[in-house]
Amino acid sequence: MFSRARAFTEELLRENERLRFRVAGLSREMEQRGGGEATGDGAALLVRVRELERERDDLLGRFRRVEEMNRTFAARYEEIETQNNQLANLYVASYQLHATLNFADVVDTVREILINLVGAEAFALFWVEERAGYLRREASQGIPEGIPEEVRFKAGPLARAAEQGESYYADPLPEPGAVEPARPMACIPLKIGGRVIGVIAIYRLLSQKDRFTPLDFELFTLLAGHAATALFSSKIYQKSEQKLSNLQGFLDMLTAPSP
Amino acid sequence: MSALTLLVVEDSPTMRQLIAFALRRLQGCRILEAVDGVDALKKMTTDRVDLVITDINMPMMDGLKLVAHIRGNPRTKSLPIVIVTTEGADEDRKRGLALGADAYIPKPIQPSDLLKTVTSLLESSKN
Repeated sequence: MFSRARAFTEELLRENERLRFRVAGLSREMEQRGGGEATGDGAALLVRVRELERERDDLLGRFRRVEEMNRTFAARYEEIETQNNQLANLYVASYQLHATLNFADVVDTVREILINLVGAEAFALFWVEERAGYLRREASQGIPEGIPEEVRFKAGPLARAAEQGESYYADPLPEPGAVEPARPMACIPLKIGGRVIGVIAIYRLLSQKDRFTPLDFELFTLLAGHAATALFSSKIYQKSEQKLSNLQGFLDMLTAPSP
Repeated sequence: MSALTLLVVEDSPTMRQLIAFALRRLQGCRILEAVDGVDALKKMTTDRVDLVITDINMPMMDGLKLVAHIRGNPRTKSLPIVIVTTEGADEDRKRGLALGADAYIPKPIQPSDLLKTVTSLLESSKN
């Protein structure tokens, strides 16, 4: 539509130029004949030229309005496209988190979301051991060896995430460097109701990513709720399966015919 | 763009689903999924494939070996290949393209970028 309107306007401008040329020619002709007001064909042509000029101005105005509408539509399209992308990411992440009742698989899904959808290079998933009062590392990526699996934090973003359920995002993001467990660039508490069951700590992003995007924050919100539910349910399911198997063992022993 | 088959090779189910989800917007395209290079080559023997989108880091056979296999086979040597990977460094990109991939998209991907790349590769392979 945009290109058609442009072609039409260009055609009008050419037509206008042609008519101007014709008017100039007629004026010259009249001057040669002795000057004075245009009469006959000349006058009719001048009227026609003015009409065409008005028509051209009107069309140019319409063209500008259409151009403005096109710009609005293009911006809206881009916005909808971004929303679509966000929804696709959130749908896939949520679908995968709830696709299994196996705790290790859920942990793997969280890991995949952080690597592939967020673009995190170094991160850890901590489990809150409430009674013992520490965080236990359940999964990690890009964390150097030698860093203890159980960590106690009295202050800092990890402690605030674990104790108060507060998210934390460093602003501006620190320069990529060595991983320090106490200094993540983002902390996402995993909550069920008001209770924090775990914390995701991100330490470094992939080299091609230099900041968090709006989609990342949507994903963090999703992880905070859905990952928590999926991890917790799968853990409970795993425990119940184990108990059931133990009970079945006892029952089998009790009901087994005596030799 | 009808009756085209696109093969997505990814070991991560999340990423596989996301890529397939994005590609479904190309009307009339059939999406095949493979979990690694070996699985991809197996699928390519039974199905005609028009474009391959592959990750690099995968078990069994990684994406770079898969690209080499595809380019080494006279039947598939001109197949368009897109690499989608977490390796975003320039050297990685050069290595992937030197092996014969047609495009290199670092993760996290933007579905619109992937669609644009795939569409343009399919258009040029058609011509």
